[in-house]
Amino acid sequence: MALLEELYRVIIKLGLVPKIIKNLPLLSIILTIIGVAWIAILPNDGNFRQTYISENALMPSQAYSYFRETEWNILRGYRTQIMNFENDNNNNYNNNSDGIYSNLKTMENWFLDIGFKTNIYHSEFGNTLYAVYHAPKSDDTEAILLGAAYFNSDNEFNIGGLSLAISLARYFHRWSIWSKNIIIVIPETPNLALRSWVNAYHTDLDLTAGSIESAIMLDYASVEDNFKYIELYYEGLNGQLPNLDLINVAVSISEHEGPRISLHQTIESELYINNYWSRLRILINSIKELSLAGIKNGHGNEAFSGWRIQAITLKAKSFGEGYDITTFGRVPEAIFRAINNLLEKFHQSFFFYLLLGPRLFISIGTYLPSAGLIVAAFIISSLDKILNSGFEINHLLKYGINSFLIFGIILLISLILSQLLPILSIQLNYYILILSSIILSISSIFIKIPIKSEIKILLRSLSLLYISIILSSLLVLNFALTFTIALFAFPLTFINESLEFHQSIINSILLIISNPFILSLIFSSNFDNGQIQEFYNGLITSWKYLGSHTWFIIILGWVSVWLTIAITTFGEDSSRNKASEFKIK
Amino acid sequence: MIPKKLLLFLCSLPISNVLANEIKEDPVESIEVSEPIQSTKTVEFIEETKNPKYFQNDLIISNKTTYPYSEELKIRPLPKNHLLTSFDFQIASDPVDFSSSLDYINYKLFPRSITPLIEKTKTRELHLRFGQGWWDSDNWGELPNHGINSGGIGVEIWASIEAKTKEDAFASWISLTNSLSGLFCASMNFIDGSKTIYPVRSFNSSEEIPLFDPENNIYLIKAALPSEPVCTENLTPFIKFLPTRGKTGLSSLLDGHRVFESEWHMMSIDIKTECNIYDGLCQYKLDQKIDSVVDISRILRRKKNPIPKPVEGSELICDPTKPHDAFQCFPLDNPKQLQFTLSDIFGRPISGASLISEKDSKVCVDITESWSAYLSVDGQFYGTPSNCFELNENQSYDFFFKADNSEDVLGVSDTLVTASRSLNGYGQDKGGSRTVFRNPYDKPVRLIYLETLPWFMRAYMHTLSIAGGEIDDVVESIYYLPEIDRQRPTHIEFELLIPKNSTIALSYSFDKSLLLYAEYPPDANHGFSIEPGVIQVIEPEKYQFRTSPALLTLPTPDFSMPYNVIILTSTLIAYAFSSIYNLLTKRVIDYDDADFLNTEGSIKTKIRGRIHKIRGKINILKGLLPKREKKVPIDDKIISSIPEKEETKISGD
Repeated sequence: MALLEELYRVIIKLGLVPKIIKNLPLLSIILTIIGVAWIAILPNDGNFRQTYISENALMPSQAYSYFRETEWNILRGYRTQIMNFENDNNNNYNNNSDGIYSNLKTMENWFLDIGFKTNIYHSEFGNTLYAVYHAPKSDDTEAILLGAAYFNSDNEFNIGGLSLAISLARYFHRWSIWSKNIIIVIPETPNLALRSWVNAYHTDLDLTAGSIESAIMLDYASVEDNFKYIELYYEGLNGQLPNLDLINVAVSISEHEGPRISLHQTIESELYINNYWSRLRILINSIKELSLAGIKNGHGNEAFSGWRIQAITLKAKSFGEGYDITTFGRVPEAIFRAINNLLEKFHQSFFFYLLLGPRLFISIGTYLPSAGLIVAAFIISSLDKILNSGFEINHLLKYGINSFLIFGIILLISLILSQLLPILSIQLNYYILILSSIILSISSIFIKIPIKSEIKILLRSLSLLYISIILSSLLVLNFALTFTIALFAFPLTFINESLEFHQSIINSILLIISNPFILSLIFSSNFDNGQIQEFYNGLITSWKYLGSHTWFIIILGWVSVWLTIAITTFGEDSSRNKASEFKIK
Repeated sequence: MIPKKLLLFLCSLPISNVLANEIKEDPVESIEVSEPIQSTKTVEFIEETKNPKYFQNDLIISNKTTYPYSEELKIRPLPKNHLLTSFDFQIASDPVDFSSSLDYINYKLFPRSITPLIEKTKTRELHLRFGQGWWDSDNWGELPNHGINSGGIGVEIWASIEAKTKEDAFASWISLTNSLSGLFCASMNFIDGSKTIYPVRSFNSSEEIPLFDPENNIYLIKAALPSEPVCTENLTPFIKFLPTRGKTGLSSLLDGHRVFESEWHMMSIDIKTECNIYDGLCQYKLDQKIDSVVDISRILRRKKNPIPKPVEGSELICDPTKPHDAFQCFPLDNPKQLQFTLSDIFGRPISGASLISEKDSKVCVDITESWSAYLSVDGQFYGTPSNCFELNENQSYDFFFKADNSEDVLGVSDTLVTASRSLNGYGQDKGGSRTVFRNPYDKPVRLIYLETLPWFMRAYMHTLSIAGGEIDDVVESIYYLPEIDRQRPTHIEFELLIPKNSTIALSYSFDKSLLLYAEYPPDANHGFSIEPGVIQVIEPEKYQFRTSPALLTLPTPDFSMPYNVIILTSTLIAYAFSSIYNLLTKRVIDYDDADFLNTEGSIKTKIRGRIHKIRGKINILKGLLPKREKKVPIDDKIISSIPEKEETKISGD
């Protein structure tokens, strides 16, 4: 206590409090810079750790994998049959669902012959064939799932994946070692069709096989026998990740069998590189992919989010030479055998982590401060708006109720928007949103409406405080989204009273660069279809059908704050002249 | 005494011919293999019963010693190369007058270990089930024996106990389950009030249960342990109950490795008390059954190579209608032609017939024309028109099966109705249960659906809903006994009428409750098993089956949290305490005084002052020193003492 007293006295003596208050904006910027720099420091040696298998029962690759030799002949036999399907597909599955349905029926009969129980689930997004093997030695309460989408996330015919799924199903059925049921799922697409099946499985499917412990999706969109490396997708919706043990098992098994694992589209030539820049690239990509999870076309593993299912997708890349397709089959085989050993749920290892490489990770305690600092910057600039407003706090408080009411109304409008927009036509209202965002940002230069300065100050402060509350509660659950929103919404803190004309222009620019819809134009170019509404489309679909919260958080957390601050830029307080405002103290 | 049927027909062909598929089934010559045999068990029995007189009078008949014991094995091929084997062992005790107290009771072959239990607990009927695996009713049809001898996955036990009050019955029940737990190496000692129900309409015995004291009542009590893994340690005591102890007779086939390698298996023990109204004598009847379904192809594959290596290229069976060459092969599983022996399935042949049973050991094979079954003794093969064989010699028996079209099996009796249950719902705090009943036939089915839910699964009956039909038409009546925390499970018995050609889904919601921290199983568990629902079909005919158990995941707290909380609160309390203590004990002054005191009372000045004082004292001491040395010359003393005194004065100021 004596030390604190001493410190306090020094602060008083040096007059630090007014100095700090005066420099709050600077402090807020410094915190943000430290927050961003924190991420840049993480890939340095000493800040990350090597992954390790935490659950001893898993024992990956301890048993020899037998999916090889003549199993390859059988796989080719199935593949020849599946190749005939391609004529029905015409690469346009929207117009040819009958052909796909009859192909699913054909495959259903193969599963029945092997000895699986099958069913085809129909949903508005496509049919899903699934087959269940009730393992004799299990108590019929748990299951492991192997899936291969008919068309993969790039809308290619997943010919190798389907052949692998069926030949692995046959191969698994011949064994008596399974302690968990086995489910094979073939959805038309790995996104909405699969998600609706997963939802149905947990609500109203008649053929079920107990709680699904983990899911492996296969993606091998080629007739080639060979591939070079495997891409691993693991990001889930709403910041949920599979248990790190599952990823470790997949990486260790795959590298044991031969193929290298590539994370976040690491290209082949960089697979063996492990330096600061490669780690930083994977880290930044992982933050990007995690915050875009559900919005971008999913690979299949996203569809299992939220049901306590640990899911990953394995995608074979670079076809034509390298490892043979049975190697790609041995990876899920060995993963299945590892999971089969589990006597409990996946719980030993991390659920919150960022990967820097297939075998490198950072746990939550190390990376959390970075977004935490940026969120703190919002609180500081919220304080700055009030403390450096030039008004006495007691005087400002009189306007408290009014500004609360205004902010409340804006929140209500955002809430209505969040529910209303998904119902409307996506393309049209996206253009309207962008247009109105731009108009709102720019027109404050020309149009002014009378709003009292006190209310403007309170509204700015309130909205910044509000976004910091939203972000700090999201911080632990969805770090990537928090970090991205915090970073992109940060320019909002610079918006100040537009006394001069150039400040008005700065305000407009700041508003434009911090608007989620306008920013989405930049993001959409990164998307597969490249159309400008893709981002918005993904946002709405993931909210409507996948159960992703991103849309809701963006509208209610970000857009509402943006709207409030945009409105304050319109305000002009005619009751005072410019000079008098800063003299009151 | 017992007339032997002449059942064995000799086919005088060597083995090599048989394997070449050239068995002639013409009965050439009939032989009788029965011979008078001395019981080898007599001595043992005399020791056990301690009453040779009683024994001799009753049981040694002519020169063959037989006991009320019979054993039978039924073998039945199922579609897709599966094989159902049903063992049935029946033992009866001697009829005795139970009402009068006896000094001794001779049970003959009736297992000695179980009788004191039954008598002490006044159990009139006892049923035990050990099951594992999944019965594929689509392919295999009805469960054996209309499902009467089948239970759910895990262990199931129910008993009719004679007692004055329900409390007495429960006490007997606990005593019974605890004793059985030791006998069968199963966790039946974990059965308590929270797992026990008193079925109302299900499990009612068709026969009348004798009541020895008219003041008493019969209480039907039931419990199940769905997560109990059934394994060899449960089979061993099961075989020990048999008089042949698995050494001879049909029970010699029962090898734990093979029984538990099956797709589905069920061990059942039923003990009944039967009384004769005319002479007032009662006896115990023990019926032990093991049913199991094996995948013939898998067993044969395993026999060939226990390591599941991929088959050789030359052994691939490919679909000839599809492209096949050295690189590809569309597999054609389930070969139609089959040849195997019983010892392939069970790992060993039958080592001799049971020689002490009153009937011969009987093996029956239910097959169609496409199949043939032969008894193989000493390399000779025998066939019968009825495909039933009676074994009565002490030699090794094996069976040989051959199928030209293994898919051609005796028509399985279709199940009247199928049911499957699943738990659904999102999140950790609540969930839903959904049971689907499918009736594919033109007859409506009336059934009783019994569910026992643990107390931490709080079902809400007002959420009960029916999909696929009107609730009033489907649900005829409900017996519902809600749970009491830690004391009683929820007990629901629905009487349902499933309309013809319909699929009915019965669902309701439940809340999951939090347990006390010690009630969670150690370490992270994979959930709590909910025992299988029991479906008893009443109309159009009696049939009984069960759903699979379900896995309930309860909200599990982070158990390291209390530790963190303790640390945080201790820190906070320490912080608050020290601040308050500081405030209470310190003087409040203004800044100038504080600064003055700081300079005056700072540690630095204090230390400096202290050093000064000490130095002063030292000087005083120094001043005193010469005074002590008064023995030095007087001149020196006067000169030296004066300046020293002055110095002490200065430092004192």
